[in-house]
Amino acid sequence: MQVQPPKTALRFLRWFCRRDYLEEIEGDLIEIFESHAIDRPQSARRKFWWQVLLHFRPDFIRSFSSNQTINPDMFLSTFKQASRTLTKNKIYTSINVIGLALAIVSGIFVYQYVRFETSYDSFHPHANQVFRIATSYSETETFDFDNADAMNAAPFGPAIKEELALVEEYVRLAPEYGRVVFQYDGRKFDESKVYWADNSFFDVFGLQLIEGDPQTALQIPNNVVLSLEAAERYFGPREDWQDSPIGKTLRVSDLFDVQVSGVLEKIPANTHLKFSAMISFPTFIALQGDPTNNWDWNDFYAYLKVEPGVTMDQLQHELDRFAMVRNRDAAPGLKKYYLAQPLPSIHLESKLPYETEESGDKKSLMILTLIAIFMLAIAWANYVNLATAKANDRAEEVGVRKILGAGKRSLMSLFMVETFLINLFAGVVAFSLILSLQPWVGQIADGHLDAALQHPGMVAICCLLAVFVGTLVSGIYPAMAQLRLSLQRSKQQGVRRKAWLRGSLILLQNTASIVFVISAFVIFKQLKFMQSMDVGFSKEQKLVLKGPPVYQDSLENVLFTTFRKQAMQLAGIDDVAASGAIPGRNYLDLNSWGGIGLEGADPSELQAFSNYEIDDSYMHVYGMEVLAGEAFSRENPADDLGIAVSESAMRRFGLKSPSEAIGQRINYQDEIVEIRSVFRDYHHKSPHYAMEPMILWNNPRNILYYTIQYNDLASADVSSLVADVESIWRQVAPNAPFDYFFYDDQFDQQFKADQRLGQIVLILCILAVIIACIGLLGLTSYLVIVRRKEIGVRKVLGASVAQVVGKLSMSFMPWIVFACLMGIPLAVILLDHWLDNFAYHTTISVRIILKSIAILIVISLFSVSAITSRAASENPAEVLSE
Amino acid sequence: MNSPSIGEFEELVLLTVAAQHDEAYGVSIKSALEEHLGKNVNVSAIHVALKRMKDKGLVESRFGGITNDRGGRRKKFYVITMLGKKALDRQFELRTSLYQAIPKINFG
Repeated sequence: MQVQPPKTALRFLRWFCRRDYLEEIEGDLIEIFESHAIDRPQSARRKFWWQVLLHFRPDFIRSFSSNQTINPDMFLSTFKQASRTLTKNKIYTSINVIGLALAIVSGIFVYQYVRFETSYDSFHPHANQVFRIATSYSETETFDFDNADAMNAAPFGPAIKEELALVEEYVRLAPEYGRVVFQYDGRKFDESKVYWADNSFFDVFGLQLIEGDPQTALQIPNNVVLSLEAAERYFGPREDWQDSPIGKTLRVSDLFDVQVSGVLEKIPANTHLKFSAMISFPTFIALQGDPTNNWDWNDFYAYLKVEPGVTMDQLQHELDRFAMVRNRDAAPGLKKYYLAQPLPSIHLESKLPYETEESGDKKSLMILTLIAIFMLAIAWANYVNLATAKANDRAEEVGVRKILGAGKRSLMSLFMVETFLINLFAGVVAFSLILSLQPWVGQIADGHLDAALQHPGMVAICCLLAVFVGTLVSGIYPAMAQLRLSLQRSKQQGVRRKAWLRGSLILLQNTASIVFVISAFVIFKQLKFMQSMDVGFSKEQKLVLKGPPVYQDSLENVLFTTFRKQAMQLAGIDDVAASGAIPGRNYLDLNSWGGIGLEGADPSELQAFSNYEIDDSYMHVYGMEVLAGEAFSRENPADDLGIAVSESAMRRFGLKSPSEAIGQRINYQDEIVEIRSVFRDYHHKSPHYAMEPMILWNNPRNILYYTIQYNDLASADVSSLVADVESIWRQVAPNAPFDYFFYDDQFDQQFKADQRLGQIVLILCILAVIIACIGLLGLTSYLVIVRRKEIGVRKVLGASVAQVVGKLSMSFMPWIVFACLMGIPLAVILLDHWLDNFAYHTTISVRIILKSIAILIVISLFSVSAITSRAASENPAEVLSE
Repeated sequence: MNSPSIGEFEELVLLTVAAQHDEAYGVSIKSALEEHLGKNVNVSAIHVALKRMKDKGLVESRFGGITNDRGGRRKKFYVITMLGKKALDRQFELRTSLYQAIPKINFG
């Protein structure tokens, strides 16, 4: 055979060359090639390529702009034809539209959510210059995350500013742990998020004041800056303010007065530092003592503003040096290390104890994003699948069009316009769905949706983007496939040829489906596991009141004792306990004190423990399991200065058994207390956290909660009980708002974020499986049409309806099996990763996997056989005679 | 009307076209030039020269018949136009007159 010139080179030449020169150039090149090829074929091919490339010059390159002038009539007619095809195949069109619309809706909602979560604190004008500095006490020479704390000591800020030139400013924020009630003009509000802040607060965070001077607002004692929401609570809506709130006096917890020195602009919801009021730091010093020289009082968030351009690594390097110098003389257990945390990363990346609020979860964001991408992929795959399957049907139409002179370009544009119309329709449906579902989704997501993206204009832009990307991604392949099919090819051949593509798309869909189904099961198993796990204390039949805000210890006890005495007389009340914290609520209530150890222990062996104060009834009310010693009791005066330690705290002291621990004396800052009882470890925090060693002091100094244990009452009696308790409260603490909750409700609050995620994932999974099912339905109904004659022949030859249905349905089985083989490991890896978020978690059981496989098979067989059984019951005589 | 200017390579190609009257096409021009110049000539350069001269009206072209050679592609034959002939004449005159102006130089 004669040697041929290289095909690719020829194709390239034909692609770029001007039509009027093409034949001449091609001919000349081939002639030269042929004369060369006789002696040396290889070099001839090379030379041919070279010659082609030499012709690639402006003289011969054709114009690539469309030589068809855009004719509005032509354009309209393409649209008309495309919409006719779509309205002719209503089922096909609506299957695609529904699938695409659902996917777009989910995608955009997920985007709103992810965007909100990832944009935390980026609204601050110089967010990338602000770092929070966390601390840890470690044995080793580095920051130790197991002994870390989001807070810092008060002297740190001034010292680091003095020492490092790259630090421009610092601010210390001390959260007010107790209950704060602001009173103005007879109106009283419980302000839950109050901080004590340095005057540099506005400089560091760059927040704007709508009233007051940021230079001096927090400079002098008894000044307060309110958030706009808080200011509106006291002074009415901003529009109605007659005069500026500046200088007005608020009474704080009936203890001292503060003057309003500023009102902040509205702060976006996506910040880790939410607050209603900032009271000036000098006020803190006057009330609670001066912390400026106490390096062990770790109760202050420290934020630094560094010079522009300073990176995290640079700052961290400097902090390490700073720590090294300071630690030179410290005892091993008391070495302090620092960690720089960029402001925008705190919400998602920092999971230290004493965060200002529960952190976000990066892994679940990843899972959500993956699900959304998969859903879009499934919906697009549906379209590709259905459109290529239908290509054979339309081979005749395309052939006729070609004969009538339709060029590649116009056919292509016809198919693309069809795809575009379907996508556009889906986009419009998605747009209206999003606008109408927005409030509902906002509720599920607990407001965690990006505000800017909820604007109808932005929603429209997102939808349009999805439409265009969808058109390109899902339109090009079917259009090309359609063009390649010529009239001569037999229909059967066409179907077979594309079987691998269809198979792999079904594989993709089913893999995604099985991953989704398993995820939904595991997430719900974990949620149930958390709510039903043995937390080590009792949750039922407890009414909790927030204690009145009082600072003087003696008064606190008087109030509580009076309240308890009166409440105990009510029918149905078993016991009333006071405590400085309760399990599962606001972990900031816990104290974290260092320097605790056995009496006579070496200072280097002193350690930090989480602890809180309780009264004699607390352990009884919460049903804690006492392993040795006795629960505290009012009868035993020796208990009054005693402590109770958890089992793991006992081991941390180096004590072997509970019985050995009883009577041991513990030293805390020169106060000697005795271990009176040892109790079993309980989950003070949610299962995300490991149980930590805990000490309970039997000496309520900071009472935050009154817990009332009541009998098993009917619901009507419970509400009258609440009324009775309230009337006692009014007498005992007339100035404090009556604020109560039922403990078990409160306990479930801990799982809100997890439940929210569970709900979202469940909805998305159901939608994804529906979309996959729709695709399968559409595909089967098409395949059945193609195989009608085959079905007829089978029946004539004696096959029963059931056999035919079985035969057709089984053709999908291999793909489902493959999907399971691929999807199960993927799901297990992903979910294992997610379960690592929880210190206590359930396992992915074989039962869940089997259940998921069963569900997948049932759903797919059901949708496939619903269609096939109809086809199989047709009369073969009619089918075959067509 | 002034004849359009032509470059040196264009002139060579045009001369060949005129010489091979009505039988000149890309490959034949290439081999004739290679023979006279004694070096390789790129066919792409010839194509460019032919295209430009055609745009200037110096040559005309026609397609030959389909044969089994050249993969079935037709040859494109070029003929010189009157304008082209004039341009060659002018070029020739210019060179001759310049040449004759050279005084007798003795390099001995």
